[in-house]
Amino acid sequence: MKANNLKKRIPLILLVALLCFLIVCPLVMIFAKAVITDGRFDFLSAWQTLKADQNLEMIGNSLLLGMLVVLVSTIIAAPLAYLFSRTRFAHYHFFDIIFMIPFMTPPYIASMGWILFMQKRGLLQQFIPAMAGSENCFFSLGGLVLVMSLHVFPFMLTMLKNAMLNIPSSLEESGAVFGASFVRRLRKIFLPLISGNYAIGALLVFVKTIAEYGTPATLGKRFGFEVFTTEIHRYATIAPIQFGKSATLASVLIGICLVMWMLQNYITTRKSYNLVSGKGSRFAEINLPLSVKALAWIYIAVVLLLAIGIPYFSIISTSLIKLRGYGFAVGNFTFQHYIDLFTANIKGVSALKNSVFLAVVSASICAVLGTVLVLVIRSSKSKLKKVVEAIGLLPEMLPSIVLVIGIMLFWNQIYNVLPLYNTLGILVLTYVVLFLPYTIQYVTSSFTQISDSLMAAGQVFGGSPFYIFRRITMPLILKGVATGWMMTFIIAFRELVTASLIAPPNTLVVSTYIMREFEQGSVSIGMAMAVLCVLLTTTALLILNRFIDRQKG
Amino acid sequence: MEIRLKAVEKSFNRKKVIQSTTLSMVNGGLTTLLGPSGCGKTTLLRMIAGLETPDAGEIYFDDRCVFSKEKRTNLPPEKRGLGFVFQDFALWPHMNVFENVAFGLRAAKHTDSLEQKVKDALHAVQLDDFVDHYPHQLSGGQQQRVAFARAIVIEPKCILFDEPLSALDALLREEMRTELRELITRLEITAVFVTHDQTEAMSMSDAIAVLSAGAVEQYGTPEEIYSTPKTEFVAKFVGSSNWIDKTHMFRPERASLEPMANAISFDAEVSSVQFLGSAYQLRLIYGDQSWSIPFSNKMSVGTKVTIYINQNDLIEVKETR
Repeated sequence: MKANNLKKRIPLILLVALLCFLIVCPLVMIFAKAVITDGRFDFLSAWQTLKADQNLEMIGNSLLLGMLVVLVSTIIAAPLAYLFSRTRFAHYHFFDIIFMIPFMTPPYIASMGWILFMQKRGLLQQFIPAMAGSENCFFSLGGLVLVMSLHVFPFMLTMLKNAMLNIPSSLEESGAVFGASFVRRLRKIFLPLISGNYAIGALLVFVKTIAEYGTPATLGKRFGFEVFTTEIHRYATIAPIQFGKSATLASVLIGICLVMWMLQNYITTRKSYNLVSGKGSRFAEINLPLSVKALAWIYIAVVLLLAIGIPYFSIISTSLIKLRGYGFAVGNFTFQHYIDLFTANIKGVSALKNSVFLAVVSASICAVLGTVLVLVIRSSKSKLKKVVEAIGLLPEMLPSIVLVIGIMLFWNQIYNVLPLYNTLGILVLTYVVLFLPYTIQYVTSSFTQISDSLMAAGQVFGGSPFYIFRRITMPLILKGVATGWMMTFIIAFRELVTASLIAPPNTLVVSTYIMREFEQGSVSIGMAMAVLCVLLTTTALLILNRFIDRQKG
Repeated sequence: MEIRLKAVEKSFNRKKVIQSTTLSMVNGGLTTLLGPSGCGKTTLLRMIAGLETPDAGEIYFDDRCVFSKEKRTNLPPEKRGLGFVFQDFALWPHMNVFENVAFGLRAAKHTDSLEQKVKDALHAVQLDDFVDHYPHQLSGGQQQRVAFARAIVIEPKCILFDEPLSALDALLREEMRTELRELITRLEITAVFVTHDQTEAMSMSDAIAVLSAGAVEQYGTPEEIYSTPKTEFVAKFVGSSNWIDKTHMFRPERASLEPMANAISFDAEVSSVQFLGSAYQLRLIYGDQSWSIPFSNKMSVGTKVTIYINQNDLIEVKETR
C-alpha cells in the first residue's frame, strides 16, 4: 500500500522539483545576491544601496507614480463603470471589446505614440503650431501618469463594473423605499458595497504600475524620472554592471508586491460581500435624461480618443510618412518603410522570426507543462498540490523584471553545468516561467466549468482512464488550453523587458527592434514594425475569440 | 441482479457517513434509498457504482464480489457494467445525443450494430428525432431521457438512479415518474433509486430503505414503511403523523369523528381549519400535541371534538436515540 502511495506521488514530486528549479531558485538567488558579497553575509552594502539619495528618490518616485496612476485611472474608469452597469449603455457590448484595446496595446508602443504626438515639432504641433511649448507640460510626471493610466484603466473599469453588477437593484430600491435620497443611497449603500472590490482593483493597479517597465523606459527616461524597474534594468545592463545593487532593489520591489498581495488577500476574505445571489437579483435600468446621455457619449468619445485615437494615429501616421520634417502633405505618404523593414537589412526579418519562434515554442511548452500541472494537481490528494499550484502561479504575482533578474543570476551561476545562458534557449525558458500562470489559470477555470459527474459518468459507462481522458476530459479543457496558448503567444510575441535584459548579443526580437529603431534608428521603420506587431497579435486575438464563440456553438 | 451489501462502512475526513450497513436489493425490482440530505444515500449508491471506495465490508452483484476489504477486491466502475443516471444528468456537452448514448458501447468496443442499438434506446425514450441534437439544445425532460437511454443501451443488469428527477420542475417530475416506472417495468431492469422525496419513493418503489445519519432505519415495501413504521424517524419522515405520546402515533386518515367498535377515543379541541378543496383540514389540540386530520365538514375554532381510532391503527414506534 505504501509503495503504491509513493508511486502515485512521483509525478507531483517531479513537478515540485521542476518548479523549484525554474522559479524558486532564481528568486532565492536574488536575495542571496543582495546580501552576500564575496561569499559573506553583508547586509551593510545592501543597506547602503538603499540609503543612497538617488535610490531613495527613486523609491519615492515609484510609490508616488503608483498612487497617482491608481487615482487617475479611478477617475477615468468610475463614470464608465457606472454607465456600463446601470444604464442603457450596459447593452452596448461592443464597448467591452473596444475598451480592452488600450489594455491589450503594448505599453511601450502606446507610450511611443504619445511621445511622437506631443514632442517638440511632433504631430500635435505640426497641426496646431500654437501648441509649441506644450511638450514641457507633457514630459513630466503628469504626462507619465496620464499615459500609464490610459493603459491600465480598462482593468479598473472591469473590476468596478463587475462589482456594480453584483449589487442587485433591490438593495438600492429598498434604500429608496425606506426614505433615503439618491446621494444618501450612494453614500450609505452603493459605495460601501463596492469599496472592497475597489480596494482590490486599486492594489492590483498599484502593483501593475510599479512593476511596469515599458512606459517609464520610453517616456519617463525623457525627463529623467527613474523608478524601480528602470533602475534595476540600468544596474544590470549598463557598465559598470552592479548585480548586487540590482538584486537589492529587486528584493525591495518583491517585498512591496508581497505586502500588497497580502493586503489584497486580507480585503478579499474580510471586507468583500458575497452578493451573487442568483435568482433574486434583478437590475433596474436607470433612464438618463437626454442631456446626461449626450454628456456620457462625449465622455466616452474623449476617453477613447485619448486612450486609442492619439497613440494609434501617431504610430500609424509615422509609419506612413515619407519625410517627417514635411509633416502631413499630399505626396508625403509612402509604404516604403514597410518594404524597408523587410529589405533594408536582415535585422527586421530576423527580429520577426525570433519573436514568432519564441512565442510559438514558449506557448507550446506552457500549454503542455501547464495542462500536465493542472491534471496532476487535480488527481492528487496530497497536501503538496497546494504548494505546486502556488509556485506555478507565483510568476504572475511578481514583476517580470524581478524574475528575469533572478533567472539571469541563477543561470549565470550554473553556466558550467548547463550552458543555456546567452542562447535563445534562456529566452524560451524565461517566457515559460513568466507565462506559465496563464495556462494554469485558463485550464483550471475550464475544469471548474466541468461537473465531476461528467467524468464519473465516463467511468460508469465503461471508459478506461485513458479513454475518458481522450474522449471527455481533453475535448472539454481544449478551449482552456487553446486560450492559454494564444494568450501566451500574444504576450510572448511582444514581451520587452525579458528580451532587453537577457537576449543574447546581437539577437533582436520585435520589441527590442522597435525600441532600438525608435531611439537611434529610423523612427518610421520602428513604427512600421509596431503596427505590424499590433496587427499580428490582434489577428491572433480575433481568431481566438472566433474559436471560443464557435465552441460555445 | 441482486445487489448485496455486507457491513459496508465509509468515513469522510474521520466523520462516519455510512454506519456498518447490510442490505440486499430486490432482483428485478426497484429499490429506493430514501432519506433527508446528508443521510448517506448518495454515498451508498456511489459505492455500489464504484465511484467511492468503502472503508470496510463487501459488495456482491449476485455471486460476483465487486468489493471486499478483506479480499482486497475493488472492481473499478468501468468494469462493473452498471447503468447510472446522474442527478445533473452528466451529459457530455461536446457530444451530440447519439454519441452520448453510444459512449458505453464504444468504450466497451461493442460496436457491431451500434447504430441500431442506439436508435432502439432512443426510441424507447421517444427521442427518435433528436439524434443530432446537443445536450444544451434539449429541455430538462429530454436531457433526462437521454441520460436514461444512455443507461439502458448497454443492457446493464442494474441501473442506479441518483435523484434523477430533482433537477426537473414539479409538473415534469410527476410525468417522468410514471414514465420511468413504466420503462423499468417493461425492460425488466433491476433499479436502485436514490431520493429524498417520500411521495416519489412510495409511488415508484417495490422496496424502500429509509436512511438516517448513515444507517438504515427500516427496510420494507412502501406499504410496510407507511403503515408500520418501526422508528420515530421513519414515522415522521414518511407521511404525516399525529403523536399521542413519544412512542405512539396514528396516520391522519385513520381518525374518525364517528364512534366505532374497538376504538380508543381522545377528546381534543379545534384550533384552526383550512379548506383544501377535497376536504377540510382540522388542526386539533390534544394535551400538548398538535394533530391534523381531514374532515368533510367545516367546523368552527374552539369546538370540542372526540376522535376515534381503531386499536389496530395505533402504531407503536421505537424512540429515536
